[in-house]
Amino acid sequence: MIRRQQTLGERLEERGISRRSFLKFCTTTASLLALPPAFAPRIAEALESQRRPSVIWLSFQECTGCSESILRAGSPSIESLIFEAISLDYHETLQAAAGHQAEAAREQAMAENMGKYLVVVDGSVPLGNPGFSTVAGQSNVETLKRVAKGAAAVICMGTCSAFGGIPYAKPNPTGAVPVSEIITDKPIVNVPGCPPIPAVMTSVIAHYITFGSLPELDDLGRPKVFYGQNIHDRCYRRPFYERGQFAQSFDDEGAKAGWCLYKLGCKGPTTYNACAVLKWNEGTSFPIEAGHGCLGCSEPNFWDKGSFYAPLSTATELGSGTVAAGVLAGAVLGAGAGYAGRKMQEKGKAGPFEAPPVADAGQKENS
Amino acid sequence: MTLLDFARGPALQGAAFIFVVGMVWRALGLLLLHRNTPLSRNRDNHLARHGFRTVLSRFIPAPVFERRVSFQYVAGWIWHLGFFVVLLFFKIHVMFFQGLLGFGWPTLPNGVVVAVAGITLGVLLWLLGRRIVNPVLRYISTFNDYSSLVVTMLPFITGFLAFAHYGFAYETMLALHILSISLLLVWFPFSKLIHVITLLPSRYILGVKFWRRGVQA
Amino acid sequence: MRPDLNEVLRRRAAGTGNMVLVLHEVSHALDRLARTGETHVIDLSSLPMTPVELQQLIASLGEGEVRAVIEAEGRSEVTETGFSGVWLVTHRDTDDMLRGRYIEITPLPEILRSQDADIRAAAARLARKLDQISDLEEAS
Ligand code: SF4
Ligand code: SF4
Repeated sequence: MIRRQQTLGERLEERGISRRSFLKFCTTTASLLALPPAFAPRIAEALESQRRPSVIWLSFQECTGCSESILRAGSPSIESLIFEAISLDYHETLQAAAGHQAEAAREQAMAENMGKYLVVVDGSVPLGNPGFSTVAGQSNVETLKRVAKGAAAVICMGTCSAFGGIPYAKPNPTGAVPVSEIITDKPIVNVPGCPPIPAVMTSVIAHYITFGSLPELDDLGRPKVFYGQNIHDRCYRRPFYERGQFAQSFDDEGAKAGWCLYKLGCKGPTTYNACAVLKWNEGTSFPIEAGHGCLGCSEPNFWDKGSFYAPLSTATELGSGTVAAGVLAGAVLGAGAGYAGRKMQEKGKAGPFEAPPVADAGQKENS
Repeated sequence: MTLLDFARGPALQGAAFIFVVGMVWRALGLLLLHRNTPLSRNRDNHLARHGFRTVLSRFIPAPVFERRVSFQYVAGWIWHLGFFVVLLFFKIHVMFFQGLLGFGWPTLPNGVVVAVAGITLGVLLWLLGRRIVNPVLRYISTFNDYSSLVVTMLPFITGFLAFAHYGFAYETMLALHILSISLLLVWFPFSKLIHVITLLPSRYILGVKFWRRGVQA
Repeated sequence: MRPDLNEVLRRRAAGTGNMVLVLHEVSHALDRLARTGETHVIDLSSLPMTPVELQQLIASLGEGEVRAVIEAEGRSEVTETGFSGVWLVTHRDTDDMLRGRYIEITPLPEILRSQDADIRAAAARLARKLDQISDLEEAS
């Protein structure tokens, strides 16, 4: 892992990956980043000529799903080529080293690449009690602060590190927070998703290596190329939505005919991600194509936005309890008002004059 | 919390609570008042039946006034019906009620609902314009009249924009739509919109009073 | 302000009209290639087109004399169209999923050439192989 003197070509050759495959990777990466094809040679050149940037991968409160998604250890893909272009110096699940050796490797990588290395984080950081999640006796907050200090940028991989994700969901027992609440003085890219689409991550890294900068971000810190459009706008079921043809259950005729899944809780209309375009599992399909609504996994707090199966247009907190409480409070107020009204009427009657007749429902009739 | 989260959650909950409190409060308050005892002799033997007749007869303009009030009646009918059709027979609305009540009912195709909503909004706008332009109407109009009209129109406007994906992004439009409904709910019990519960009873009472005295109302 | 998506959808169903634009771009690029030797690549995935339009585009370019298949982390196809110098390049991955489709205006698409790095590596490999063979011969 540490043989840095090798050229990219040699490394590729060693892995039995031809130069043509690499060209193909650069070309398709340019397409993904919505760059003109002329940029492909530039990407190739950048990936080759520069020293491989050191990448330190920190895993906090996470399920390793993001690593799985990105590395897809089982089926090597063109995306995995990015790992030839970077020097992954620390990744708890992947590295061969263990214990103090592993920590030492990280310290060394940090020292050698001060101010230049990239930090990738998956998982959220617990603040409730430092003991909730520790590695080598160091709490996640300490590790993050220490490692981020010398970083060029931090890439938050997955919804947990970007927005808090599942650990952050109510009642948030560990006091989890996203990375951006701890690190405020470094450029941060959020690549949310539960998990994110693999090609999105590799492209963000490729962009960084090629241009030495991060791609353009939206107001939630997500690269605009991938998170600029919402699922609903690119969904192939959209015409059914327009016509009001909704599947009523997952196995009715509408579902079989591929109708819109809004009624079954699809969050596509409020979710910004590239699923409908890039798709999943090497472009096989995406969840809506497989018949399930979008969960909105790339949006903050997607876990706490009511049921995954409730349509977007339903109330999340309004229920019979609210109505019952309203009836009760209204009854008390009404009784009070009625009583006061009676008292006033009686007082009027007892007066020296004949009381003017009191209308029961003095509203003028409405058109 | 995003605007949509707020609208779907606390806003709708709070508004519905205020709505229920207000409606029960005002209904009960009116119900508990003393009725004044009629002093005249009863000249009618079928008071209850005749009271109901008044309730119904006032749904159409009285023949003597027909020429002067027909427009008002027709416009009123159209937009009230349109309001209910859109509220109760649009697919996405029924989903809302189903989420609340646990059951749904058949709906109308989107095309029909959109047309009805368009007509309804058009009539409402026309009525608003008329209120402003007609000198007599303008003279008798108060804040209560204008505000209630506008508050009733807002859900239509935001709903249209959300449906057509026009204006802001869908999540923002949907949130504004739900917020406009919350506003309507809060406004409802404390404005002239309360006529929804007072209208029929007061017609009945008025009818009974008239028939008692031998007036064929 | 967002575009009126219903309108977008309607237009999309009716076709994008991009096919003709692409053909124009190809024609200009081919002209430049002929005059100055400058090459050009068009990324078809960056241009919205209906499947029908794409078929029409490919059909109107026709088929030329060369048709090559490259196996490099998945299959890639390079075909010369009926117009010399205009190539259609399709990249697929190991699961045969489409990853990109390009029109290249060039005498020879880069991916078709043997790459320098591969050539160097191959030279070394072949030399090693010869060594082995001569070792074996000596031993026998
Ligand atoms: S399935 Fe979801 S994303 Fe697709 S059209 Fe329906 S609501 Fe929109
Ligand atoms: S379809 Fe929605 S929930 Fe599913 S992966 Fe994409 S963004 Fe996440």
